[in-house]
Amino acid sequence: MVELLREIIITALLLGGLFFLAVGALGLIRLPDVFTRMHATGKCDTLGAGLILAAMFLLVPGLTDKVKIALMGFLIATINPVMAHLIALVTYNRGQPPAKGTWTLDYYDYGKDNRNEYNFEEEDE
Amino acid sequence: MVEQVLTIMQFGLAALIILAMIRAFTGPTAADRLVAINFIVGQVILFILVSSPLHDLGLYIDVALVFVLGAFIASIGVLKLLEEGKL
Repeated sequence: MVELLREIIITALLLGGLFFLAVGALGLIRLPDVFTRMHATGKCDTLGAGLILAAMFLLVPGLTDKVKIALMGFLIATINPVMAHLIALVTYNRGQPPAKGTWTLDYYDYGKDNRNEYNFEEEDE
Repeated sequence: MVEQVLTIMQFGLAALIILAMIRAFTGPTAADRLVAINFIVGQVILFILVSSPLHDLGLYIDVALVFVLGAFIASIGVLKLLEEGKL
Protein backbone atom coordinates (compact mmCIF):
# COMPACT_ATOMS: atom_id res chain seq x y z
CA MET A 1 0.00 0.00 0.00
CA VAL A 2 2.74 2.43 0.98
CA GLU A 3 4.76 1.25 -2.03
CA LEU A 4 1.86 1.92 -4.41
CA LEU A 5 1.31 5.38 -2.92
CA ARG A 6 5.02 6.18 -3.35
CA GLU A 7 4.92 5.09 -6.99
CA ILE A 8 1.83 7.22 -7.65
CA ILE A 9 3.47 10.28 -6.08
CA ILE A 10 6.67 9.76 -8.11
CA THR A 11 4.68 9.38 -11.34
CA ALA A 12 2.65 12.52 -10.68
CA LEU A 13 5.80 14.56 -9.93
CA LEU A 14 7.60 13.32 -13.06
CA LEU A 15 4.68 14.00 -15.41
CA GLY A 16 4.00 17.40 -13.81
CA GLY A 17 7.63 18.38 -14.32
CA LEU A 18 7.46 17.30 -17.96
CA PHE A 19 4.28 19.39 -18.40
CA PHE A 20 5.94 22.55 -17.06
CA LEU A 21 9.02 21.98 -19.19
CA ALA A 22 6.78 21.59 -22.25
CA VAL A 23 5.09 24.91 -21.40
CA GLY A 24 8.54 26.53 -21.21
CA ALA A 25 9.55 25.11 -24.60
CA LEU A 26 6.26 26.32 -26.12
CA GLY A 27 6.92 29.82 -24.78
CA LEU A 28 10.47 29.67 -26.12
CA ILE A 29 9.16 29.01 -29.61
CA ARG A 30 5.98 31.10 -29.74
CA LEU A 31 6.81 34.36 -27.94
CA PRO A 32 8.01 37.35 -30.00
CA ASP A 33 10.91 38.76 -28.03
CA VAL A 34 14.10 37.93 -26.12
CA PHE A 35 12.71 39.27 -22.85
CA THR A 36 9.43 37.38 -23.10
CA ARG A 37 11.24 34.18 -24.09
CA MET A 38 13.40 34.56 -21.03
CA HIS A 39 10.27 35.11 -18.96
CA ALA A 40 8.94 31.76 -20.21
CA THR A 41 12.06 29.63 -19.78
CA GLY A 42 13.46 31.21 -16.62
CA LYS A 43 10.44 30.24 -14.55
CA CYS A 44 9.13 27.07 -16.19
CA ASP A 45 12.59 25.53 -16.39
CA THR A 46 13.25 26.08 -12.69
CA LEU A 47 9.86 24.73 -11.61
CA GLY A 48 9.94 21.67 -13.90
CA ALA A 49 13.50 20.81 -12.89
CA GLY A 50 12.51 21.17 -9.25
CA LEU A 51 9.56 18.77 -9.62
CA ILE A 52 11.65 16.15 -11.47
CA LEU A 53 14.42 16.47 -8.87
CA ALA A 54 11.84 15.93 -6.09
CA ALA A 55 10.67 12.76 -7.85
CA MET A 56 14.24 11.51 -8.17
CA PHE A 57 14.82 12.35 -4.50
CA LEU A 58 11.98 9.97 -3.62
CA LEU A 59 13.10 7.35 -6.14
CA VAL A 60 16.80 6.77 -5.45
CA PRO A 61 17.86 4.57 -2.53
CA GLY A 62 20.61 5.59 -0.15
CA LEU A 63 21.35 8.76 1.75
CA THR A 64 24.37 9.80 -0.35
CA ASP A 65 22.44 10.00 -3.61
CA LYS A 66 19.61 11.88 -1.88
CA VAL A 67 22.06 14.49 -0.60
CA LYS A 68 23.61 14.86 -4.05
CA ILE A 69 20.18 15.39 -5.64
CA ALA A 70 19.24 17.95 -2.97
CA LEU A 71 22.50 19.82 -3.65
CA MET A 72 21.73 19.72 -7.38
CA GLY A 73 18.29 21.20 -6.76
CA PHE A 74 19.78 24.02 -4.67
CA LEU A 75 22.34 24.81 -7.39
CA ILE A 76 19.74 24.82 -10.20
CA ALA A 77 17.35 26.99 -8.17
CA THR A 78 20.10 29.57 -7.61
CA ILE A 79 21.96 29.50 -10.95
CA ASN A 80 18.95 29.51 -13.33
CA PRO A 81 17.34 32.83 -12.25
CA VAL A 82 20.76 34.48 -11.99
CA MET A 83 21.54 33.46 -15.57
CA ALA A 84 18.17 34.75 -16.81
CA HIS A 85 18.80 38.07 -15.03
CA LEU A 86 22.30 38.35 -16.52
CA ILE A 87 21.09 37.68 -20.07
CA ALA A 88 18.33 40.30 -19.67
CA LEU A 89 20.81 42.85 -18.26
CA VAL A 90 23.36 42.38 -21.04
CA THR A 91 20.66 42.44 -23.73
CA TYR A 92 19.17 45.66 -22.31
CA ASN A 93 22.57 47.31 -21.99
CA ARG A 94 23.42 46.54 -25.61
CA GLY A 95 20.33 48.52 -26.66
CA GLN A 96 18.48 45.71 -28.37
CA PRO A 97 14.87 46.90 -28.90
CA PRO A 98 11.92 44.87 -27.57
CA ALA A 99 9.03 43.70 -29.74
CA LYS A 100 6.67 46.13 -31.44
CA GLY A 101 3.91 47.37 -29.18
CA THR A 102 5.95 47.41 -25.97
CA TRP A 103 5.10 50.27 -23.65
CA THR A 104 6.21 51.20 -20.15
CA LEU A 105 3.96 52.61 -17.46
CA ASP A 106 5.25 55.41 -15.25
CA TYR A 107 3.70 55.25 -11.80
CA TYR A 108 4.99 58.67 -10.72
CA ASP A 109 1.83 60.52 -11.77
CA TYR A 110 -0.65 57.81 -11.07
CA GLY A 111 -4.10 58.30 -12.52
CA LYS A 112 -3.11 60.20 -15.62
CA ASP A 113 -2.81 58.60 -19.02
CA ASN A 114 0.95 58.30 -19.02
CA ARG A 115 1.81 55.25 -21.04
CA ASN A 116 5.19 55.79 -22.65
CA GLU A 117 5.54 54.11 -26.03
CA TYR A 118 8.98 52.58 -26.38
CA ASN A 119 11.06 54.85 -28.58
CA PHE A 120 12.42 52.69 -31.36
CA GLU A 121 14.11 55.53 -33.23
CA GLU A 122 16.38 56.47 -30.37
CA GLU A 123 18.00 53.07 -30.21
CA ASP A 124 19.12 53.07 -33.83
CA GLU A 125 21.51 56.02 -33.45
CA MET B 1 5.09 1.38 -13.40
CA VAL B 2 7.90 3.81 -12.65
CA GLU B 3 10.17 2.38 -15.34
CA GLN B 4 7.63 3.01 -18.11
CA VAL B 5 7.17 6.58 -16.85
CA LEU B 6 10.94 7.10 -16.86
CA THR B 7 11.09 5.89 -20.48
CA ILE B 8 8.30 8.32 -21.38
CA MET B 9 10.29 11.06 -19.64
CA GLN B 10 13.34 10.26 -21.78
CA PHE B 11 11.33 10.56 -25.00
CA GLY B 12 9.64 13.76 -23.80
CA LEU B 13 12.92 15.42 -22.80
CA ALA B 14 14.46 14.49 -26.18
CA ALA B 15 11.46 16.06 -27.96
CA LEU B 16 11.86 19.25 -25.88
CA ILE B 17 15.57 19.40 -26.75
CA ILE B 18 14.68 19.19 -30.45
CA LEU B 19 12.05 21.95 -30.06
CA ALA B 20 14.54 24.24 -28.32
CA MET B 21 17.11 23.41 -31.01
CA ILE B 22 14.78 25.02 -33.57
CA ARG B 23 14.99 28.31 -31.65
CA ALA B 24 18.76 27.93 -31.26
CA PHE B 25 19.15 27.58 -35.04
CA THR B 26 16.68 30.25 -36.18
CA GLY B 27 17.08 32.80 -33.37
CA PRO B 28 17.30 36.32 -34.79
CA THR B 29 19.85 37.58 -32.29
CA ALA B 30 22.63 36.09 -30.20
CA ALA B 31 20.63 36.45 -26.99
CA ASP B 32 17.86 34.21 -28.37
CA ARG B 33 20.38 31.48 -29.09
CA LEU B 34 21.85 31.93 -25.60
CA VAL B 35 18.43 31.53 -23.94
CA ALA B 36 17.72 28.40 -26.02
CA ILE B 37 21.10 26.89 -25.20
CA ASN B 38 20.56 27.51 -21.47
CA PHE B 39 17.23 25.67 -21.76
CA ILE B 40 18.92 22.76 -23.58
CA VAL B 41 21.57 22.51 -20.85
CA GLY B 42 18.86 22.11 -18.21
CA GLN B 43 17.13 19.40 -20.24
CA VAL B 44 20.40 17.47 -20.70
CA ILE B 45 21.00 17.53 -16.93
CA LEU B 46 17.51 16.11 -16.32
CA PHE B 47 18.00 13.51 -19.09
CA ILE B 48 21.19 12.19 -17.47
CA LEU B 49 19.44 12.15 -14.08
CA VAL B 50 16.39 10.27 -15.39
CA SER B 51 18.58 7.65 -17.09
CA SER B 52 20.20 6.73 -13.78
CA PRO B 53 17.52 4.36 -12.34
CA LEU B 54 16.82 2.83 -15.77
CA HIS B 55 20.39 1.58 -16.13
CA ASP B 56 20.94 0.91 -12.40
CA LEU B 57 23.98 3.17 -12.39
CA GLY B 58 24.32 5.57 -9.47
CA LEU B 59 27.35 7.09 -11.19
CA TYR B 60 25.05 9.07 -13.50
CA ILE B 61 24.02 11.24 -10.55
CA ASP B 62 27.65 12.28 -10.09
CA VAL B 63 27.86 13.02 -13.81
CA ALA B 64 24.77 15.24 -13.61
CA LEU B 65 26.14 17.08 -10.55
CA VAL B 66 29.43 17.86 -12.32
CA PHE B 67 27.45 18.94 -15.39
CA VAL B 68 25.43 21.40 -13.27
CA LEU B 69 28.64 22.85 -11.84
CA GLY B 70 30.35 23.31 -15.18
CA ALA B 71 27.64 23.98 -17.71
CA PHE B 72 26.91 27.62 -17.01
CA ILE B 73 30.51 28.86 -17.32
CA ALA B 74 30.25 28.92 -21.13
CA SER B 75 27.12 31.08 -20.98
CA ILE B 76 28.87 33.57 -18.68
CA GLY B 77 31.80 33.68 -21.11
CA VAL B 78 29.53 34.40 -24.06
CA LEU B 79 27.77 37.15 -22.06
CA LYS B 80 31.09 38.80 -21.23
CA LEU B 81 32.07 38.60 -24.90
CA LEU B 82 28.76 40.24 -25.89
CA GLU B 83 29.11 43.06 -23.40
CA GLU B 84 32.79 43.95 -23.63
CA GLY B 85 33.76 42.79 -27.10
CA LYS B 86 36.63 40.66 -25.84
CA LEU B 87 37.21 37.92 -23.30
